[in-house]
Amino acid sequence: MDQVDREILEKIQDGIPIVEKPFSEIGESLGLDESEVIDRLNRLIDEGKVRRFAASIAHIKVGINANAMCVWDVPDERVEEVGSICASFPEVTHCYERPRLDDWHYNLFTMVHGKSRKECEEVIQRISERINIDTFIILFSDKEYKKTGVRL
Amino acid sequence: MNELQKNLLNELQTGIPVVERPFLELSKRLGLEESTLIEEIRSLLEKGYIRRIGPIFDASALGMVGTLAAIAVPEEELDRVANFINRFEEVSHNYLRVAEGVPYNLWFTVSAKDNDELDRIISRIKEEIEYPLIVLPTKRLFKIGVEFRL
Repeated sequence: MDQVDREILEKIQDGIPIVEKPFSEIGESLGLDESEVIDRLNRLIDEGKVRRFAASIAHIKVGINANAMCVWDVPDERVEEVGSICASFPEVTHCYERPRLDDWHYNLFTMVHGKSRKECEEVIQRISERINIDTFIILFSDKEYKKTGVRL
Repeated sequence: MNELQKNLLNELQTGIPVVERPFLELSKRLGLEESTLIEEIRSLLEKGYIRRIGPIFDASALGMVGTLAAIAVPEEELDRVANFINRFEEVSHNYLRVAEGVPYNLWFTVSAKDNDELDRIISRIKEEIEYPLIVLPTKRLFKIGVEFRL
C-alpha cells in the first residue's frame, strides 16, 4: 500500500458520496483520474486489505436490538473444532479464540445478534447443544459507548 | 421499514461493486431506476439506518494489530471511564456489558498500527484508570464481520 492508496482510503473511510459517479468525485478532490481510484480500490480488495465496499448499518435503528457476547470455556484440544462449528451459525457474526488469564478462564468468544435477548439466548442454547459445552456466560450489551469502524 | 428498504439494506451490507456507476449496477439487480436507488439510499442515511457506505478494512491485512480489553468499573464511575477510553481514536468499540459473576463490565476493542502503539494506549489507560483491567488479544480468528440478514 503506497501513499496514494492511503490518501484514497483516508478520504473515503467515513463514506463515499451517494451520487452517480462517486469515484469520479473522490478522484477530483484528490487530483486523480476516476479510473485510477477504481483500479486502486479493486486492487486493495483483491489483496484482501479492503474486505468489501458496503454499508455499515445502525443495528438498533433497524430492529436488531440485542447484541450478546457469549464467552465459552472450551478445552484447549477442542478449540479448533468448536470454533468452526460456532462460526457456521449465521447468527454468529464474530468468533475468536482469546487467551485464558489467571482470573479469566473463558477462551472462546462469539458475538450473536438478534431482534431480542430471548432470540440471542435461543441461538446460544442451540450452539451449546451442538458443541456439548454448557460452561458459558452471556454478556449482553447494556449500553453502547462507542462504535466506529476500524480507522486508518 | 418497508420490504424495499429491507432488501436494499441486505444488498448494501453484502457489498457494492467498485465500478464507474456502482448504483446503476446495483439498481439493475434490484429492478429499480438508478435515480430512485440513489434517493432511497440518501433517505436511509438521513434516517440513520445506515451509518455510511465505504470500505470495510481487514485490519490485520493492513498490518494493524488489535485487542479486546475489559475493565471492572464501579457503576458511578462508568461514564467518566468510558469517556476517557473513547477519546482514543484507536478505540473502535466500547460497550457496557453486565453479567452475574463477571467483575469486568466495560468491554472495548483497540486497533492500532503496530504493537508499540497498542501497548502505549493500554499503558496510558492503566495510568489513568486505577481499576482492574484485562487484555485479551486474538489468538485465532474463526469468523469476522459478516452482515446481518434483515
